[in-house]
Amino acid sequence: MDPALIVAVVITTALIFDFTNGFHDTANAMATSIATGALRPRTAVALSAVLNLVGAFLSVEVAKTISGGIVDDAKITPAIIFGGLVGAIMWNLVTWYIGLPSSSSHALFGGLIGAAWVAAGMDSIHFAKVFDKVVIPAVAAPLVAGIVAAIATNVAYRLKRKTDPRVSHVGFKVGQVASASMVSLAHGTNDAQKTMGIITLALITSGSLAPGSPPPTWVIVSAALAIALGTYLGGWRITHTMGRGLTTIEPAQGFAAQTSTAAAIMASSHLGFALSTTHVASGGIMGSGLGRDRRGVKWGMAGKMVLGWAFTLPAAGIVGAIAGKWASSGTSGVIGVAVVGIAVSVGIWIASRREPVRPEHIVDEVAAQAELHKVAA
Amino acid sequence: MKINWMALLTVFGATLLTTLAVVVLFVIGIRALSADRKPVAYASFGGCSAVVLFGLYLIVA
Repeated sequence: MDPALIVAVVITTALIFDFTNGFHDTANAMATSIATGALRPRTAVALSAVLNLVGAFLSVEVAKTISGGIVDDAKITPAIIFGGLVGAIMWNLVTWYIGLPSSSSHALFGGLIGAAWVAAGMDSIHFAKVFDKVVIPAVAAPLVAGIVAAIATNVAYRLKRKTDPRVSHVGFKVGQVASASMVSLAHGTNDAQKTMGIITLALITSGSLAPGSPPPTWVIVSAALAIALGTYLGGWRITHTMGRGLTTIEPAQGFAAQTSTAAAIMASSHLGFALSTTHVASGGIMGSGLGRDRRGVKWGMAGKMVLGWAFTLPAAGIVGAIAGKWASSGTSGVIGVAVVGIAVSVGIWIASRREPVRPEHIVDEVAAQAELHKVAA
Repeated sequence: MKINWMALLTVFGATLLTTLAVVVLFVIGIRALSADRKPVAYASFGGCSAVVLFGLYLIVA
């Protein structure tokens, strides 16, 4: 296949992945604000989309981690990257359909590592770098966000005892919108970078860019736009699980959870840690639940989520391995992977139409929950 | 495999410090608002924004 054509296919697929990433992750930033009624769902996603766009321009450290380190750019080809991307997109769509907040980032790494391993051999992967920049942050960052959120929530609740409940309720709702905005911005600094890194990697492996180059401006702009568009079109299904399923969220608690989430993601982005924003946001929400009331977390639901996380890397890795092997066999392989990928995506989309979860449904539930809070206060 | 403990510690420290600074200043602001001490409230909200902006500055610069 013409090298320019395969690079174009990889870029398109990477942008589709970026779109599904935004689609999948709206919940991380906005779930708590929607759940407490601080923002209406449509306003929330529009705000989040704009901030993701801005965040994508703030830092390129994570993009550099991906394009210049986790796989050997001399050994892999654009076709292998294509296979890995298809694996990641498949996993993202399946978890989106069943409403599981799994990590788009781990789907991407799983897909890429699986594809490179099978198609180019084990030594095409720099395991030390994967361990240092991906695996360790994957475990550490949600814990950091969780511990900090627990402390911050506890402090906030102690300090706010002597406040007028009406003032503090409105105040914390405003604070929550501000902190949700910071999470969206942080999301752009970490997640949009992953697509930039992948496209840059594809350009390096095809010889269009020198090894070690930073992402070109057009790559930054297109990745930023794709994630913003995906965010705007939103992931109502997952917002549903995140906003209500984990623990009951009050504005003050949402504010503390989100502040720690945003801080943890931005500090990590700055050091080039490619972490899962989904995991960090979930860690923050759980930690703040603990900080407010030790019995406040639904551990059963949390356990199921962590199990889903552990599955993501290997599951996307297996799909990526199959797709990568097939795609690297030649033109017919690339076309085959593309056709199967499109067929599965269309199938999931049709299935999701049968029982759609729309913004209107969430508004109703939010209204009901707001009533509950008023009675409690 | 070596673990870069320094980097992890940096992330933990930076997260803890900025989060506590923002949350504490914000709650102080709300307490001041409830007690109708507007200047204190504005100063704390201002401090809160300054922490956030400084964090962003560190990332961009």
